Amino acid sequence: MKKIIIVLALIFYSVPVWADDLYVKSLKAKIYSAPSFNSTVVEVAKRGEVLKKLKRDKSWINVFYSGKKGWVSSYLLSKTPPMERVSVLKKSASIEKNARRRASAITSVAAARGLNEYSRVRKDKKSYAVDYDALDKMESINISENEALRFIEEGVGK
Amino acid sequence: MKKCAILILIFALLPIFCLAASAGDSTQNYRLRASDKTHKVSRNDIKAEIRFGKEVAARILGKFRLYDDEKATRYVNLIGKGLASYSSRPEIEFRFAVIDTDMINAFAAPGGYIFITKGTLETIDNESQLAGVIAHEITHVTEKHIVRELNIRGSDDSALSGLSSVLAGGSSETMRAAFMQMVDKAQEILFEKGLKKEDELSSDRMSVILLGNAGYDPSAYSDLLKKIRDTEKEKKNIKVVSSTHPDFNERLKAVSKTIETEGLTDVQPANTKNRYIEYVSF
Repeated sequence: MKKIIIVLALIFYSVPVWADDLYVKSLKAKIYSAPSFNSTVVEVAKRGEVLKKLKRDKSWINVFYSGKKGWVSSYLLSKTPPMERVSVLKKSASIEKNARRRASAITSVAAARGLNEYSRVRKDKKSYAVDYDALDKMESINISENEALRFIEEGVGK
Repeated sequence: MKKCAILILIFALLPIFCLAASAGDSTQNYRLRASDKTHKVSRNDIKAEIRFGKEVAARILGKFRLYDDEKATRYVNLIGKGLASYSSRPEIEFRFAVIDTDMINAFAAPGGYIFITKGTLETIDNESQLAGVIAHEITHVTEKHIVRELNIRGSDDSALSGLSSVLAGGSSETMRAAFMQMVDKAQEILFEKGLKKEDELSSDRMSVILLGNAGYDPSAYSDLLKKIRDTEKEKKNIKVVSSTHPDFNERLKAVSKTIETEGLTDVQPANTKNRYIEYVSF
């Protein structure tokens, strides 16, 4: 009888079959020994990996991952898998943009669009300037997530 | 034998009770992310958001010039992209720029376009505070504050149905005009009306947690708010965030409460002043 109880208890408490699956959305998710950033990091999960939720304490989730139990910030997790990066093709986005850029790098939206109806709709409003060349410059900065993450870790000494 | 059968039954039913308890917990306490609300977010919704954000970003850059300092710009991007890697929206590529104005403020356009003013860089003391400013703007994007306010979607059931095709040049003039009116509204929110008070306070709360996750001292966020509040008092001619944000004392109170209740106290602060001075000089 005792053996049966022990076996059942072991099955129940060692494998959290009832637990919710939560997905890591951040590039990395540190799993701490206690619900505090001051505690020891026991494991690090990566984006897309599944953690078993055991319980919750405010914004901390007690999880089971890679044979270990620990605490992770709920802000790094989600019930749904992370989406792939979405990009907007330059070709589709640039049709209007190129037409406007030909007129001037920085110009009034209404004038550059040449949209009579649009101008009519907002004739009582002030026109706004746009700068797509500056936007291209902003978008041209190429830094990977890993490079940026390493930079932060160097800065905070972790 | 009977006892044994009862025990087996109890153990068999326990997971069901746990599951029910866990479901209750998730509905009551789980942070309501914008992306989890109302309808399933599609890739078209994200594309619509990015295209909309590009237009808003181009407007911001039409109003303010880019600050011509490659080193500081790259630094802001490194911190921004590093913080964004801890965010809940890996589908978005966050982009950062410094804009050339003495105004002390920062702006976030949908789709991950984030702007920090030169005046803000001049005001703050260290990298942790810079991370605080950026974290606040990132959470406006992750929580889709403007997107929800204006109901921007790419699917057919929204007021802006077919929005995705608007910028591709395939839609009618009326649709284009409607789209640009939405961009006008976003601009009004950013520069005149401000976001909802609860959205700003929610971004404050989430920012300190984002700082903690990235390894920064969350209390730097309170220092940042105090610094901006004091600067506002000293330099009355400089436009600051208070015109579009809730009262500083209310924000500080909310931040202190979050730091206290979320296990964010006593985080060992790293010295982030030297690196800030190395990259940002005036």
